[in-house]
Amino acid sequence: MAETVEDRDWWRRVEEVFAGALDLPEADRAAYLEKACAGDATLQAEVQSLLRYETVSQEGLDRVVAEAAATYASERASDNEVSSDLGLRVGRFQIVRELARGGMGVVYLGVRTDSDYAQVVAIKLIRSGLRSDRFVRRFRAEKQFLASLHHPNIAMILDGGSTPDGRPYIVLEYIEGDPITSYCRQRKLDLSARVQLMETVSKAVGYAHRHRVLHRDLKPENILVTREEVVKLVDFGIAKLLEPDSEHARQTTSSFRFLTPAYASPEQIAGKPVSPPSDVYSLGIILYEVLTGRHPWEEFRSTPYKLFMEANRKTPPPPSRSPGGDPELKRRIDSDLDKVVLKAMARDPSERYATAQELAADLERWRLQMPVSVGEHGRLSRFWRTVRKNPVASGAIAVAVLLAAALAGVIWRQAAVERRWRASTYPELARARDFMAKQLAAGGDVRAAADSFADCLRYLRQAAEAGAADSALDPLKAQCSTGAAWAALRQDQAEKAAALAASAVETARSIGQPALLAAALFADGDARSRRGDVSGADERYREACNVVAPGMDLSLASPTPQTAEQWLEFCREVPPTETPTR
Amino acid sequence: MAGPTDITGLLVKWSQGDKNALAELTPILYDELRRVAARVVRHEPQNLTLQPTDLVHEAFIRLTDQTRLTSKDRAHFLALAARAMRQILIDHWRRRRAAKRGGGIKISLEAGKDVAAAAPPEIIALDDALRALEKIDARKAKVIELRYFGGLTTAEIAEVLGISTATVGREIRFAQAWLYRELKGEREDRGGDR
Repeated sequence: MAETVEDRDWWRRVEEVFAGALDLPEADRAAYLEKACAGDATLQAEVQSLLRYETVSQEGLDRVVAEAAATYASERASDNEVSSDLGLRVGRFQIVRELARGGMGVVYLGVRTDSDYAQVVAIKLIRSGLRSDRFVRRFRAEKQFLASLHHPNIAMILDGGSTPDGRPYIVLEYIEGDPITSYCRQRKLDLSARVQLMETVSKAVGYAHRHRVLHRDLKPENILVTREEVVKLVDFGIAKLLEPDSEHARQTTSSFRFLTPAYASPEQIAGKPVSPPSDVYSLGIILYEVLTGRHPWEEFRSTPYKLFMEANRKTPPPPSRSPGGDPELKRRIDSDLDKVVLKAMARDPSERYATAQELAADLERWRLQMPVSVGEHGRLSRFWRTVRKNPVASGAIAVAVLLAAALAGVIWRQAAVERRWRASTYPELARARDFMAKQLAAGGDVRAAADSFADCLRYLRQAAEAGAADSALDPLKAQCSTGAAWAALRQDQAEKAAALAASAVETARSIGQPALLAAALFADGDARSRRGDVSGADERYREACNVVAPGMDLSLASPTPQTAEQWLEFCREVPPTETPTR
Repeated sequence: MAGPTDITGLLVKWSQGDKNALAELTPILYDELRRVAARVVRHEPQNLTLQPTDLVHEAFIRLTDQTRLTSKDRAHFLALAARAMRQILIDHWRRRRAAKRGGGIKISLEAGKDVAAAAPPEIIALDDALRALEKIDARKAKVIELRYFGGLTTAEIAEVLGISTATVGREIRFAQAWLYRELKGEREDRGGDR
């Protein structure tokens, strides 16, 4: 419109006349216009028209923007489905609906638009003071590191960039799951299951560390557990992408921005360089919370400053003595587990586990009843570590050492282990046993397996002699005897097998665990059969089948799953005995 | 999350001429305005006459440490926010329209909330008119944006644009009248076809 000199002149004249009219009372305006327009009817009509609208325009425009704002705001508040980012395209993806909101920004559900197959993703729009061009540059630089993380427990990063209005975004594998803390609470997981989950988490973090990627923002919300109980770590390495530039960090104190105060390490809070132990610290805090159901500084969570002060000044009470928290869980936390947690969350990075892998290893040891590296018995721990580092040790020997060490631990620290023992170690032991059995089944080193079972029995004897054994150890005794019997049979030592099996049967009877008894009876039957005692074997097999209920899970008690199947099938063909055997 | 200190520091730097600070400030401001909008209505669901300028001022209070800012900084912040506010409101309607057309994805909406049912909003017409005004007289368009979307006072507008308050007053009245006439579309009222 105002493209030509003529247009601009016209516009200016309209303005002038209009302004002149406004200065006058309404009654005088007509006369003024006549005079000012000097016969230019077009000009006069234009100004008159504008003057008519002038009286109502302010109210009118106010109403238009107010309505738009009210509609917009009410939709923002009441209907997340129609949030303003809905339908927004980011790279190859399009935003479908909102998933979550947090300090870092908003997470949306997105779909891929450039392909026929429906890929559902999570899109994080980041609220940040970071310039989007810098973010994009950094993302490109880091992409290859992040893309090198292929781990079943780490969510993949698919893409990153910036939106048309300059917000950085990251596209991630979409994970449907609950934060580990709520998952444990909702499913009422027992202590051992919780330790196992955190062990998986620590292993995944250890994996990333080996690929030179630090997480930097580990917290329960970034550790999701799916309905299938698969752990998925999200946002790996993202915190680094979002860190303020160093010169800015100083000037704007914005280095706090992407920290989650309740889980950040003291060195992160102090703005010092981060290293693998920084992630270990966060894992330690999460571990504390997962095991007790309560954050170590729960009362300060809403006041970050106090939280920092507290975390920097005081060591929290060990998890087992955490004020508040779930009493049922806390009762089962022993001093070893306490030490593992406190070591992970030590204020001084050099006092923590050097890597997440080491933390995972201790959690695993605890779960398998083995002395942990921070336990009271350094000698044993050193022994264990030596063995583990020894490449000559075959798998079977390693497991033998595992059992041996566990039992040595039993002798010296019986009370602690006994508590754990009662917390159903049976499946764990069965796993160790399975390992040995696999060696047997796969034609592995039978001698090593036999030795490991023999070691197991020897330690049990020593425990008994030291007066440290009680009935809680009986299932282990039955299993090791049965295992040793199987090994002896493989070595064609029928006499030895028979003796071991008989002992296993005797022990198993006293416990009253049908699966264990059945396994012992089958072993005894096999041993008798080998010695030519067919009727004796038959008697044992029948008794075993009497103990075995249809559908019973024998897999934990048999040398291999196939064997368990064979037993069940065998028993289906054996008619039940009328008179129950002793 | 950015705290008051960050934003205030960025604002100060921006008004001292640091262009990088502006680039960092803008997304934060957009986001805060969106959040404030949702928050205000959650607290006052009956409020149907919400002024965008209320949102801008709310965002200003929440984002900045006012004791560290001069009135000039404040005016500049509000100017920036006015731009953002206008953009947010317009984007909102344009995206709704895009979502309605489908754009390859299906969005389930509750009954009665179908965007297709909504009348074409006057705010879009106002934005179109503002764009037209920008072409003819950019300063007038700016004055309107500052006044209606940012809630700047006449003195603040004068400060931001470097003109006298008297000029601001005249510009507002003329632009208001011109825009409102554009909005109402009664072009036959205009003398001739210029």
